[in-house]
Amino acid sequence: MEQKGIFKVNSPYIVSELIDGELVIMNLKSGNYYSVRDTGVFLWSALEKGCSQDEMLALLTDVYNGDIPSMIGQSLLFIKSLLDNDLVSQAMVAQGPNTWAADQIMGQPLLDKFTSPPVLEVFSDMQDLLLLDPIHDIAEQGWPVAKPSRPAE
Amino acid sequence: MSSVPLAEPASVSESENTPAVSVILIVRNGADFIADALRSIYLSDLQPLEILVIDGGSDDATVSIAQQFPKVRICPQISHGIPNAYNEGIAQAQGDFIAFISHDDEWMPHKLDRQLAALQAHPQFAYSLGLVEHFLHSGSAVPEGFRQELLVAARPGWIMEALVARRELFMSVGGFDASFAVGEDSDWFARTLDAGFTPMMLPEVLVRKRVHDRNSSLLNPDINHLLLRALRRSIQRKRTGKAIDE
Repeated sequence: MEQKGIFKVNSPYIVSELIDGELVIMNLKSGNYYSVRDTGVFLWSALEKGCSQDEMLALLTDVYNGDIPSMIGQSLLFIKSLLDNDLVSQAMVAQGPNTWAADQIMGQPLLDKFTSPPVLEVFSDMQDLLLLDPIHDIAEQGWPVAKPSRPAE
Repeated sequence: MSSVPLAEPASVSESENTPAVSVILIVRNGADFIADALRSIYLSDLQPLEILVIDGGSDDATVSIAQQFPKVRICPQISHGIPNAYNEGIAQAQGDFIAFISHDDEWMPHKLDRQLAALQAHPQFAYSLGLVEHFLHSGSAVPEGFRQELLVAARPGWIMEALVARRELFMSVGGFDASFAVGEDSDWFARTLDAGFTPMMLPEVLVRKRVHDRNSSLLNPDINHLLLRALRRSIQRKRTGKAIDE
């Protein structure tokens, strides 16, 4: 069976969450943290869903209107920055059809214009804090008194 | 459990020139370790003004053990959660400086002395931290997900147990955000940095942090969720240039 190259998030040391449309990523090995917005979120979401680089770029140019060579060039730079920061690794998997439609990638409405290029913003001001595994006591019933509800998920 | 001290230590270095320090210990059901933590304060070269034990409703021997130590004031927690426990302690503290300790950790004897001296000599710093070393509690296995490398080398202690802060700092950046079930300390440290307060980090081990089977770590997804939330707040503060959340 043919294989295709994809990208895998370097878990468990890379953790991320989409918060109000902004992707926040922690690198628990380097202590850096990152912000990704707009088109970068689209690419990260496609990457997480197992799309190859060609599939990501095809989906991107399908969704967004703009200068295609420029969009592709900026997207390739973004993917390189993910690799350079050790957030993702390349992997080979069995070739299968891409079943993702562009509007399914992010699960939220998308802008149709390539208004801002994908950018990985890097923050390093809390390296020591993130590299020191904070240990918190958590008794089975919560501590000291369980809050009636967890913070908004 | 080792014996509880019954008399004041002979070498207390309190004087009129030594600023008063309040120590805050928040706890719920910490009977296994709290005597060791309080004893480490009692053995400090510099003695605090008071030790506020904020008790979140312990139903074990925590309170009765703590009451046997000098300078301990038991404060039953009125509110809920870890952040509010800290906030209650800060509100009741009488000292010019505020220090913290967990019921399951231990201070080095020179901790308070060194940090107070450093802050007095460098008034431009609002708080001090020091190195922390982790040790595995006898009989405990390393918790799942715990970083083994932390047991090998001391690290800069961005944790409450390593903190000594001027009281005014809490007026400037506020207390601990009660919307964080855990990770409130990381959010608070991020706020102090974004507000322009950098710590005086002392290059010596000041805290010994006990690793035992009830610890959880950064690899706990709940903690990660809250830490990511704290980081996003910090990113937003950096973008807007506003040191304090609106």
